[in-house]
Amino acid sequence: MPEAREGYTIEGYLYISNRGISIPWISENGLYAALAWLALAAVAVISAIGVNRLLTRREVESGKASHPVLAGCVAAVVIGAAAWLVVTAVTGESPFVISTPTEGGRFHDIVGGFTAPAALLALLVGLVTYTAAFIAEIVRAGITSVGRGQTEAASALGLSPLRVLREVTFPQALRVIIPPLISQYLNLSKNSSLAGAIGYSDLMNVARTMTQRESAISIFIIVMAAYLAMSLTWSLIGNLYNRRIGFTRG
Amino acid sequence: MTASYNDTLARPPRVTTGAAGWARENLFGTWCDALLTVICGTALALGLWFGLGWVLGDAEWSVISALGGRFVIGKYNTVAACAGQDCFWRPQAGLIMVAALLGMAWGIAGGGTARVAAIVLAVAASAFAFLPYSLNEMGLDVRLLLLACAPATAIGWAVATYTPLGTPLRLAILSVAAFVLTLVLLRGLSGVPGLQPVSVNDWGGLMLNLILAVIGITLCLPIGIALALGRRSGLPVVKVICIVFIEVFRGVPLITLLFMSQTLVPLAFPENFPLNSLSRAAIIITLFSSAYMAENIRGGLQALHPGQAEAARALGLPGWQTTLLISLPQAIRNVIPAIVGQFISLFKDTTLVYIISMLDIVEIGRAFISSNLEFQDNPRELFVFLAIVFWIFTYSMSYVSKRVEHHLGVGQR
Repeated sequence: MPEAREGYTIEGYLYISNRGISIPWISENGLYAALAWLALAAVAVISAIGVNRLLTRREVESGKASHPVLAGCVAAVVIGAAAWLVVTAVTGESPFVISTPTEGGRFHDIVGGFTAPAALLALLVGLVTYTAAFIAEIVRAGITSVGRGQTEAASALGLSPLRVLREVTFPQALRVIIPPLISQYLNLSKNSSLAGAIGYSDLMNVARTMTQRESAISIFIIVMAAYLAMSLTWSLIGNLYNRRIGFTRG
Repeated sequence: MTASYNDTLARPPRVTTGAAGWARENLFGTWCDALLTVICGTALALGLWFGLGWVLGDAEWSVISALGGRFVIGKYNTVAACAGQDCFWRPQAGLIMVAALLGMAWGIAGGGTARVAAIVLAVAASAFAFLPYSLNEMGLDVRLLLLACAPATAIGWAVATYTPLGTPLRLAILSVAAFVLTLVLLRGLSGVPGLQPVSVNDWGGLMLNLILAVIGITLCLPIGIALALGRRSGLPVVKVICIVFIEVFRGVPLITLLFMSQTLVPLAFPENFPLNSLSRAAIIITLFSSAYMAENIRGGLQALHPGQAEAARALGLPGWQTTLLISLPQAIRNVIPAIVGQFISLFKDTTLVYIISMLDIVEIGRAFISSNLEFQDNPRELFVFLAIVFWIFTYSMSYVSKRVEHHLGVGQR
């Protein structure tokens, strides 16, 4: 990454340098803005769910495709935007002010906007792609485990390839996928300790530092207990879900 | 007349063969495909441009050649580890045995993946014999032993083809025997001339990673299967024990387990108990991976329709035969990609033995860089090289798994 002074920039909007990536972001005006955000989000979500339910019922009754998911998403965006306009018109000012990043100060610091630090981005990209590769193989195993006859039967009934995947293949593939997927999420939470390697003081890094003063064994026991607590929570949630997707005999 | 003839004449069909046809079919089929192709192509081209520019231009590869054989065996052959004699031949003898066994596998399978593996190993070993080091740096004996891999492959092939040793079961027994023999050779025997003992703490490099990975991969699958069956069993005690084992070993980082094995386990055993750091690391890595493996297998088992086991019961098969002959083969076939993913994970996890001060291939490089001032600016070259080495091994695993899946017809029926 180039230095801040020589970074790639679109003046006032985008800065990419060794400090990270800065983009325009909504500036929060304290509690008022947060409440307005929450209210808008609630309106959008509730209307989306309402539209989805309504259209699903109509689809079941009439037998005609009415695209409940698509319509729900559209409703969320449209009604959310309309509510925002109403709020803006009534109060006379928008609760959301866009703050743009600008270069300033002696050290060419970026002020305003939202800055994602380069180290954090590197960590995120690394962890995400690494885990995604493993999960891809697990999902592939799940999908190939579903008998070919299932897919063929579903296509013969006239389902589109996307719906075959969503409603026939994937629910059955989940039985293969979920247990290893839980493992991968546990791995992800454990691998996040690699943040220490690029300068973040995460749990493991703090523990290593503490071993300079305290007995290493007791500190490592605490670290193990902390990770175990985190993992068991994940694992419990995952296994509860796993129980739901198992075979049910009628 | 001519105009209407032209109107009715259909345009020639789109080209679907050759490079242009292939590109149109697969890369620019829809506008969405075309967009993806352009984006990915640009990213790939940029990455290649800068990556190759660095590899061929700015990078200083001298750190790799300076480390040389230490990548492979660590400080195994140093005076401190192996005083008064040359010990390089011992790991090389192991390599020759591997070449011979691969040759046998080729002879038994009659081609396929075994042939590819045997030929690649023989060719690579022979090529390494001609590395441009001086004879002082890389002795004639080392080079000759590397060249011996090719004839060893041929002998293995001939033995498997023309003698009764050429059956899969005998090959498996021979492989285990060869592995144990390699370990004994590496460890040495006190009192035997030429086989001076070498402490396992001096084993290192890629050799150490491979030994740990082979032990872990061989043992974690059966243990994992047992744990998965235990977790799904109807016996409450067995079930609880398996669940606790899996969740505890899966729930903590491997690095803390290795650390604990180094500090706590010796307290529990009497002094002089024959449990060195290598075997402790191997045990911990195996148990850790088998907890993960158990979950993969459980996924495969729970995707089987209960009707399979019920049908087997109805045919009169006893419970253990139902499990061994009906459930497990289908379950494992379902989760081959997840299992191989776990093997790959395990191989990469062997680098964590640095926490118990063993010098694996990564740690030997890191130690070399931090102790040699002239190479302090080259960690990037070192890690790129290490990434390539690891990629070669993990890709081979992935390739073999793809062949096995193809052979078993996964996703075909």
